[in-house]
This record gives sequence, C-alpha cells and structure tokens, in this order.
Amino acid sequence: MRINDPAVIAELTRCHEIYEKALIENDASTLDALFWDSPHALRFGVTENLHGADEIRAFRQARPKINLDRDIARLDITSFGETAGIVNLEFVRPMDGVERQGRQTQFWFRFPEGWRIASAHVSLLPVPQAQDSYLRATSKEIGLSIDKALHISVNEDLNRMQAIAGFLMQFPLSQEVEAAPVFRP
Amino acid sequence: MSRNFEYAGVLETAEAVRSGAVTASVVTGAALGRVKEMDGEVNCFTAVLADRAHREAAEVDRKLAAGEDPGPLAGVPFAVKNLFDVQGIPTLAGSVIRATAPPAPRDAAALSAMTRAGAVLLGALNMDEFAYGFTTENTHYGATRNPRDLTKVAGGSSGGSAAAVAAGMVPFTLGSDTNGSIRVPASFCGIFGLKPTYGRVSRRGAFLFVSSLDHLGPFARSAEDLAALFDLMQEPDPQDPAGTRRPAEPCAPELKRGAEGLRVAVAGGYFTDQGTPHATEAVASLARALKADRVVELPEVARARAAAYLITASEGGNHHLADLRTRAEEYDPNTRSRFLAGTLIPAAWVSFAQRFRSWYRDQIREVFRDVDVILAPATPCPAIGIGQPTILLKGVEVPSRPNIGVFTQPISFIGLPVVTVPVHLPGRLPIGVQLIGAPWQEAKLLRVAWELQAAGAASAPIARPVGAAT
Repeated sequence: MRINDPAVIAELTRCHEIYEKALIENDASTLDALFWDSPHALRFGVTENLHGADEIRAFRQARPKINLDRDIARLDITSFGETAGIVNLEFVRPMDGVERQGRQTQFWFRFPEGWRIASAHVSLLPVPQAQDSYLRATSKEIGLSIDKALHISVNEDLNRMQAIAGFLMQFPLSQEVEAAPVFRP
Repeated sequence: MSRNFEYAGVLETAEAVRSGAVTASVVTGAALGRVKEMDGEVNCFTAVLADRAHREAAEVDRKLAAGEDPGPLAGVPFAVKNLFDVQGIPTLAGSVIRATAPPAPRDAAALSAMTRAGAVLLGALNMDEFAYGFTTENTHYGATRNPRDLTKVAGGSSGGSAAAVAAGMVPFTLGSDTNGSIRVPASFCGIFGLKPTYGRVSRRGAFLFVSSLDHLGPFARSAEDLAALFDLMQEPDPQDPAGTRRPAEPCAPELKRGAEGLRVAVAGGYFTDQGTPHATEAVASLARALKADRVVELPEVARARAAAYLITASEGGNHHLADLRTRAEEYDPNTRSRFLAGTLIPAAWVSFAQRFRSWYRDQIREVFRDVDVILAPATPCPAIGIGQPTILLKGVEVPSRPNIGVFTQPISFIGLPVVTVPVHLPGRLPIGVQLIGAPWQEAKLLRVAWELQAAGAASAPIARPVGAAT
C-alpha cells in the first residue's frame, strides 16, 4: 500500500476544495453529496453530534445562511492506498466578533460512486481564559452580572484594552505630572 | 417663487428670509419636503418634528411682519444628533434603552441657542448607539447611508448630522465629538465640521458619552456658515462642569483676513505614516494652496490615542453601569461588549491615562509656540462600505472600525479645536483634512478654512440635489 501517492493526494485535494467552497457558500446539496449516504456516516460538529446521513442532511437544511467564511491556517492531507485518506485542517474564523481557532478532521473513502466523507469532526480551541477570573471577580465587585454568552467578547475587549494600556504605560511618565480633572470646588 | 432657496446655505437662507425674498414657512415646507423625499434612502432622521417646525417658522414670519428682529438665523432649517435634548421627545442617543425615557423637559443649551437666533428645528438625527462608533451602522435604527455613494457609510458617530447636510436636506446640523464623531463623518460626507475647544460650547442637555472628552459642534457647507453658527454657540455656561468662563470670541468678523500672517504646517510622522495615499494627497493639496512647506512632528501621538481609548472605555462604561446591570441585552451588539469591558478596567490604567493627558497637553502647547495651524488627515481613507470589516493601510489589512479614528483621537484627547475641511479630488470620494489649532484659536482655523474655500481647494457641494422646485 502506498502512502501519499501524488495522484491520490491530488484527488483528495480537489475534493477538499470543492467541499470548502460549498461550505463557505452554504451549498447544502453539494455538501450532502460529498458525505457518505449511509446510516454509518458520522459528523461531530462544534455543537452537535450527528449520526447517519439523514441527521447530517437535516442539520444542514436547518442551518441558517450565516457567514461561514474561514481562513485555513494549515492543511494536511494523508492518503492510504487508493481508497482512503484523511483531510486535517486548522482554520481561523471570527465568531461574535472574536477570532476563534478551529480544527476539522475528515475521513474520506473512495466508494464505487466516488470519494465520500465517512466521518468528520469539527472543534474550536477554547478562548484563552486567563482573564475570565478577572472578569468574574471585578464584575462581582461592582454588582454587574455579565451573561456568560458575552464573556468571550468582553474578555476579547479586555485583552485589547490590556494591550493598549501596556503600550501606554511603557511611557516613563514623571511622578510629578498631575492629572487635570475638570472638577472645580 | 422667483428664486429657489432650497439648497441655499445658512447665511444665504437667513438673508433671504430677513429681506422678505422668501418666508420662513416656505423654506421650512421645502426642507420638510426634501427630508421626505430623500430620507428613505439616506436614513438620517429618527424623528421629524413637522408641527414644531411649522410653528417655529410661523413665529419667525410673525416677527418679521411685526417689524421685530427674528435673529441672525431667521428661518434656517436644521436638525440635531439625537443625543441633544429636544423638548417633548425622549433623547435616544442612538439607543432603544432610552426610547422609553421621559420626554426631555427642554431643549439642549446649544440647540436653544440656534432657535433663539431664529433657526427652525426639523428633527433628530441618527448616530452610533451612545456615540460609541465611527460609522453610524446602528443595529436598532439602521445604517445612515452616505449621500455621495449610498453603498458607503456616512461616518460616525454623528453620521445622520453629516449626511443630512451633504444631501442638502438642511443647511446645517449639530453633532458631538468625543474621539472624532464630528470630524470623521464630515470627512466621509465631504462637508465642513467644527469641533470647538473643549469647554467652549455648553453640553447642557446633551446625553454625554465621555464627559472628559465630549464636545458639541456644527456641520455646514461653508466656512462662513460654520463661523456664524459657532459664534452663536459660544455662551459661557456655569451649568456645564467643563464649561469655560472665557467670554465669547467671535470668529465671523475675522474670517476674511484669510491665512494672512498665519504659520501653517503639516503634521508629519504618525500622521503621514498611516493613511492611504488619498489622505496624504488631500493634505498635500491644501498645503500647496496655503504655500505651507513646514512639517511639524507631534510627540507620542500613538500613546495619546491609547490614553484616549482607555479613558473612553472606562468613563463610558461607568456612565452606563446602571443600565448594563439590568438590561445589557438591549444594547447594540456593536457597543455592548466594549461598554461591559470598560466597566472592569483597572484604575491604574485610567489614572495613568489622565496624567499622561496633562503631559501631552504641555508638549503640544510647546509645538504651538511657533505654529498656528497644523494640517492632518481627518480619516485614513474616504468613506468605507457599509458592513466593510477591514481597510487596507500601508498594504496591511486592519479592522476598519477601530482604525477610522486613528488621526482624530489624539487631537480631541487634549481638547484642541479642529475645523474639518472637505477635499474633493477629481473622480474620487471626498475626504476631510483637519485644521488643528491651539486652544481657543477657532478664528484662525476658520480663517484658513475660508481661504481654502476661496481658493477652490476645499468645497462642500451638495451630494444629490433632487427634485428642486422652482
């Protein structure tokens, strides 16, 4: 059995390109056509576990036409003989205004009707949580309860502010300099 | 009617009304007609107050008939950003949270200075929610479109104010500027805007964003109009805690001295390194017209912007803390997380930023010892597309929203007065150039603006005059 036969890799690369284009364009029929039409097909998404082609198809039909555009940071394709291959990719995609890093693994098999995805898994790396303890502690101190769904974007803003403050506070400001508040007694 | 005053400027309209060439009621009716005709596309107005406008116009006409002086702005239609209190309606400040606030008991001070001078209020104008934005893409009330290209944003946060003037709906409007909210939309819409010295114009009755940095000011289509409006807005007001006690310093009488005797320089470094070639060309075209070949470098401009950002986040967040506690979900998704994050930032950052502000002010005072007016771009690029997430600066793709204010934030940070003048390079969208002065030197800026306009280097033609009745 030959690993990474260039002809097979070229075919899988083409399959990947068609799938990616269909994904970004929300082209559900192409996406469905590329999945193995079998009760044994499987797709684990970021928020859903789908068993069988029917569940996968139903999920795609119900999915709103949101912007699914993503940047591929790294693509690895490995083939095993002439009938099996794995497409692994790492992607970056803004979600709720925050840049998230994700991974996707697809197992492709060449059936008589052509290459199909038999199994796929998509996941997101967690947002760095270093500041979440800060967010929780300070918001509690000021009686502000922040919806958990907003923690990612608020932490992202705090990170940005932290970077800006870090740059500002590198400045060697003399202790003698007083602020000029508008308060007048 | 023998003469069409529909697209006349502020002073021309007032003169026509005062001389009896046209009545205030006719002018007002025509302006309301333009709003009705155009605003479906441009989306400037969040409230049209036709009854009030007709009443105010009738009062001007009554005074004229009775031989009384109706004021220097007799019968001139205008509108205000919806963070100004307008008697009888809630002050939205771009939000839905305040849609249920009690109606304002009286007009904001700057607004009533206009109506006391005879101007006629037509309504309230769209903005970024709570002024926290540079594009007027308001989730609740829709994006205000740029009348020079309806696929582009009008700029913000006073986007409705700039677009209404550019489209010729009204000859002037009022807006506010914390980090660039007058200068950015004036640039994108290709009109004149004035951000006065901090403390010069009373903010009483305006729904503030960041008290330490908030200014109010006018938009118009000529330097003369801007000067006339600003002169009427200069009323010392002890009820604005930041208000100056300096007596008014009228600018209109100075205007025609032009740039004569003024030392004009171009801001270098930070201000030339980051803009698009379009922005740099616009500044160069004005420098040529003024024969200004000096370049001045302002120190630590990037840190000034950083400090302004932190003060904005902290004060803005704290201002909204009560509503963020109870109804955060009603905020515009475009502002919400920044307001929430702003409530949490360490005091050390903000105190440092406030102390840095003093240091930076002192440095810039030194710069103004041997220069009167500094030219700098108002925005790094002309109007961007509605929904456009990034802009290309020096070949690098950067997020558009936070970078639109790169040239305005470091200036308002220390309250310097700025006139934004519109530059229309052939075949391209307009872009604004900031004329920056030392505190209280608005007259010098307006003189230079007047000179540039007289030389044809700056102009604010109406964007889309449609349906002009004759």
